[in-house]
Amino acid sequence: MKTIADAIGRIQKTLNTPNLKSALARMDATLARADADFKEGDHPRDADGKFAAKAEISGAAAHGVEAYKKALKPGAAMKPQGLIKSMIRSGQYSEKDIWEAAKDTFDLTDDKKKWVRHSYYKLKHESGDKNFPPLPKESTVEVKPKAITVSEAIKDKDKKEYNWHNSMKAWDNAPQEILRAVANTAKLKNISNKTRSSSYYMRHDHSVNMKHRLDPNGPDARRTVLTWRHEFGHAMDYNASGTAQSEKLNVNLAADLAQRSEEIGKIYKDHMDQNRKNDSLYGLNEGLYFSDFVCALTRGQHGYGHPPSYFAQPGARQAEMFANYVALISHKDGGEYQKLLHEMAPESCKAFDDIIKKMGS
Amino acid sequence: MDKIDKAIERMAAVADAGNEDKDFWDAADAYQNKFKELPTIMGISDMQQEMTKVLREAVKNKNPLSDDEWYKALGLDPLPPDVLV
Repeated sequence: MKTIADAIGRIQKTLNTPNLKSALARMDATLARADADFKEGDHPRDADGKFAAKAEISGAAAHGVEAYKKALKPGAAMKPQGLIKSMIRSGQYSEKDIWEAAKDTFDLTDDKKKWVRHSYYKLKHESGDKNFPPLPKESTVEVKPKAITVSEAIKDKDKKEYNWHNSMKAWDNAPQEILRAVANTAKLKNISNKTRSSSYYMRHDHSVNMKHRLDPNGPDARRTVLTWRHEFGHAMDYNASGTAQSEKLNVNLAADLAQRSEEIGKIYKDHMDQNRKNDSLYGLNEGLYFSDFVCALTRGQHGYGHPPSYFAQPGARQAEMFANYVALISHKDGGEYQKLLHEMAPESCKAFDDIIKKMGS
Repeated sequence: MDKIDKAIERMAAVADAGNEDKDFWDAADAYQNKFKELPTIMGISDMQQEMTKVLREAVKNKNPLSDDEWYKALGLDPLPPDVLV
């Protein structure tokens, strides 16, 4: 269970830094994976026949509780469910403690009460407590998150970043899950405007360079807004370790390639033929992002955008597909693009949807 | 300028943009067919005409371009390390 130990290390390191959101996102992803592994029942057991990883998960979750308490200070815009989940997972808090914490951090609606009760029961059952037998399937409770507006999603960003999101109307057509992910992405540290360079995202300092100037009414506005969404897609992904930590994505990518190679080529050709006729809703820049998605998916067998040497970097294919997916499904014709991309690479797109959902939760 | 003139001007601009798009895709296809891969074309979409010209020249001169040569031909600085384009 190296990943759990890593998660604990990361949480410990970040407890005294402002980057708690990112650390918590990583920890949540790691714990969720550990939970999934438990369900598989494929973990080594200790001498007592208990899951050897249980103590480690409990330890990581306890660190998570501390981190969440710190992050949940007033105005921190954190979601309180993470705190409650970590308390339950740690096994170090009584049901009464958990209800007290829930009351302090939630507006306890009936749905949320059900969620706390259900989560507590489910995790107790999964930890092997015989007082909590399996729940019948129909008792599954999913709390639907409250709808979020574009203004709410970008309200905490710094002025320069806010202006890019807002003036370009970058997310006006984005699905709810994307808006939540935008809201949860840490503020960019800088947005430079070197016009003699291309547009790119800098991983080492969570910054973006935009080749194009911010000009919502300029002739390049339509291209610029796609580029902005693409680069911000990288920021969302890297900030939450989205594609980097998704084992499901790699499995699904391989499945799409193995099962759908011919269809991918056909869909790509049909779409690009349409693009060139200039009578479709897809313009050149949209075509580029679509082409790059296919290029990354097929390792350059179809499409272009980045050369194979770029995609040889570990994780670059997944990162570019994700950024293109975010840019295209948040387009004014995003529903059409989502349908098209799902038709072409259904398994990979399902993994992207899961990643985006996690980023927003 | 009356309304009809303005409308004709807008239609002409749309048609020009359409032609530029087609020119770019044709140039990119010709380059891909010739050299089997393209340099990085993402992140510089405001340079469509320049890219079309450089791709055509490279095909004409039978000279595939590395990313550094590509950015230089377009008058751009090379990419810094550790970036996602």
